[in-house]
Amino acid sequence: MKFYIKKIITLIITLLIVSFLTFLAFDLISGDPAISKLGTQATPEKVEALREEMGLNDPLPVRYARWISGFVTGDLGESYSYHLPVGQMLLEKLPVTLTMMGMSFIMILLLGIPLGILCARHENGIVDHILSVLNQIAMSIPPFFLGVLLTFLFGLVFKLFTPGGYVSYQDSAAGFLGYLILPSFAIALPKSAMTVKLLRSSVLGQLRLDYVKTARSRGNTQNGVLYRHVLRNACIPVLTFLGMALADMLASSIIIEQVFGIPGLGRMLVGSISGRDYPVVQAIITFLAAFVVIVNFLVDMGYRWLDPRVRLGGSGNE
Amino acid sequence: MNRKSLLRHLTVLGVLTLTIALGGCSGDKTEKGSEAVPGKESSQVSSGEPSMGGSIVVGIPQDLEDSLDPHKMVAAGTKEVLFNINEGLVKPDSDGNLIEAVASHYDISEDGKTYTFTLRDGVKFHNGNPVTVDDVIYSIERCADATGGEPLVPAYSNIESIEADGNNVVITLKEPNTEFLAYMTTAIIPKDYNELDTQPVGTGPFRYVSRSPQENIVIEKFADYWGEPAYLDQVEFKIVADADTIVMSLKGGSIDMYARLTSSQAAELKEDFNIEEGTMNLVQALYLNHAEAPFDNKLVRQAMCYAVNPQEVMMMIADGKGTEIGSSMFPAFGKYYVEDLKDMYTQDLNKAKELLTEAGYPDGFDMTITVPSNYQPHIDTAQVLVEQLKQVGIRATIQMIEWDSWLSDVYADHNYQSTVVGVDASALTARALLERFTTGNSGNFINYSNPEYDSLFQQAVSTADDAKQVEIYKQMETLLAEDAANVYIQDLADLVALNKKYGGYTFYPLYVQDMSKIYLVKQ
Repeated sequence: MKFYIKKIITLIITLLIVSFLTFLAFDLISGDPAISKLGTQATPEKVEALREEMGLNDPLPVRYARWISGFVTGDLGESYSYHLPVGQMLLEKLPVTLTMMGMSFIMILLLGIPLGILCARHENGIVDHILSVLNQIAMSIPPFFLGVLLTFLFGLVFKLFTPGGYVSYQDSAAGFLGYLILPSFAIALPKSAMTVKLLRSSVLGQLRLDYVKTARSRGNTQNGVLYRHVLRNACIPVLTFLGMALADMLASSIIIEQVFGIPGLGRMLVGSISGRDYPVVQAIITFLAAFVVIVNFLVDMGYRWLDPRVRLGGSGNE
Repeated sequence: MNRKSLLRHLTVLGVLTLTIALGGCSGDKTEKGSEAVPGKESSQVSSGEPSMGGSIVVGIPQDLEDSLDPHKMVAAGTKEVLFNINEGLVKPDSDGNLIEAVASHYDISEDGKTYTFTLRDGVKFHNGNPVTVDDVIYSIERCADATGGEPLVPAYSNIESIEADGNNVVITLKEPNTEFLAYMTTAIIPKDYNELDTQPVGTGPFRYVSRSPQENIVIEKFADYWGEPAYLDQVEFKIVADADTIVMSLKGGSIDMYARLTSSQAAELKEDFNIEEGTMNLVQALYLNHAEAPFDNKLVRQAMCYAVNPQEVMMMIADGKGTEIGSSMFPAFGKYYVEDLKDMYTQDLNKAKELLTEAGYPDGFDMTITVPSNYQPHIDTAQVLVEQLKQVGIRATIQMIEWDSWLSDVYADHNYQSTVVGVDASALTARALLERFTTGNSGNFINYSNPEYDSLFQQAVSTADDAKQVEIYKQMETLLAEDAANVYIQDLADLVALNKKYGGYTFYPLYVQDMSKIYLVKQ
């Protein structure tokens, strides 16, 4: 119980700090939302009137307090650019980015784990060698470039994919999922390669430990030991990596959304930063921060599941 | 797939890889291949027979992060889309004339002070309601309301009264203004309708359907349109945020049309697409801040004009496409345009150096060119200018800033030395381009101030004689060129790719896309 309370407190503190820093950042960068909105028709009087209307003339602590009180009651404000409630805009884009993240994550698991085990089982074999070369290549390609290559190959050469032909999930679920395969793959490939490498060395490390010999001497088969004992332990560093990878994938997805023309959170973040649409930026960044904290929490839970010896909360007696 | 096309794809892939690998290594622009896109292809387009129905997907470079309220929108990108939804009492046609729209007839009194508009019968709003005199008066009064400082349409501060007279609307002005008609393109909206920001309603050939931020804007044909109906049933404006994916999206078929392509993009597309060539209708120049030394010195500005060669700029950035200009006016404005001004300063490096010496800068000087980073042609132009200015000893460096920073730092705060941008006209009058350079005007971001110019402008706006007015505007343009107010370069070429399935693309002298004229070619 103590563990959960601690986690929730961490979440709240992180969100407070991140959201405050975002507020601060907007005060520092040049560009004014009122001027941005009025464009070349801005006159000092119009700018002043609009700033007043947007509440930008209040001191920073007042604006921050106002935002926090809105946030707590579930009111994220209204977008300066679109005049739509920010919450509604976020809800519309969230499924896009989350689906893409989910698909890439499944791809990482489906590719990374079996291949990692395969490499470890055939250490220094031909499969291991070929895979390790491919691995190096896959790891060194940045996702956006892979995105461009995939679009070109599948879109213009094989004609299996319409570049920029994004289908909204509201129109067709199948079309939507189909369009997301390539972008998800572009995000997943480098991370899968790293998973393979990590899992391979982790399994090999475990296989050299004494408990493996003990298990073998009890008459367990090689495979039995591998799947029943070794894999579980070998997964702990992989889990740590995947936790970090998820946060990183969120960052890649911002670029991948640009490359594939997917109107997700990333596109909206970039668009609203350049349009100085503060309420939208504020909401997205706070969401991203919450996402990272929650993923970390899930990783901690995963440790406990993989290795019951891990005591959460540090008290040692739960 | 045959071998030849596979080979071609592989070559393109190879080039693509190389381009990405080499990109950013060098700021130099090498001259591109001399192969030009044939502009004549547009004639093929119109030869196809139009058919009714169908839909089109048009790529646009950025989302309309703007209000959809036609009176409050400011971005050019919003205006070009909403042009299809809204109409004023009059509206521009593709030749730059004002034609009757919601009004079926107008009458301007001899003294240029009274404008009488007769409402067209049977004009309906997209919500089905007929347009009444009350709606018209409401729309104009909304734009003339000066409670927040300047009215939404600054020219409306000249309105003395707006009155209904049966089916007519009579507008009386305080001062005579023969150009006032150009400002009557203000969208007519339903009286007391409050959802314009998100659900615009107008009288145009298309009606608003939906928008999804960062994704698209959808409009559909308005069945009860009073005039020539649109051919297409539906138009989707789709945001293509990443410039590198434009060509692929067009080739892959996810968008059918894209305007304002670069010449290299057009060259890649010319086999599969109709490439139409028009002009952007912008005054592209190296705008100089006259409040900053050394640009307060006319000799220095003239020296810079002599140092620069606009033809070379066009060769380097667009295979020679574009129209050289010499003042704040572009050719599409017909009667106001003075073509000879472009020859006032032909490149003459010796002359430039002499002028610099005379001005007290025999060794040149250092300067910064601020360029908005979202628009490649301006960045390319700035790069060529740096090289040209170097020849006379002026050491320029480019500083790229975001568009929003440009708006606040350069345009609003005048905190810059020089900048390369294109200035467009918001209405079909010379005034829209020339008024901004009068002393103290809020749009005078170059801080130009010349009492002679100011008095000419006063004469121009107060005269009721059109010919005389045109003459004065021409004098103002000449004055801007003589003073070397800015280093004028060009009106950029506008290259539009349209899928061969479609025809009917029409260029306007304003920044609009008229979708009602586009049709599917009969098979």
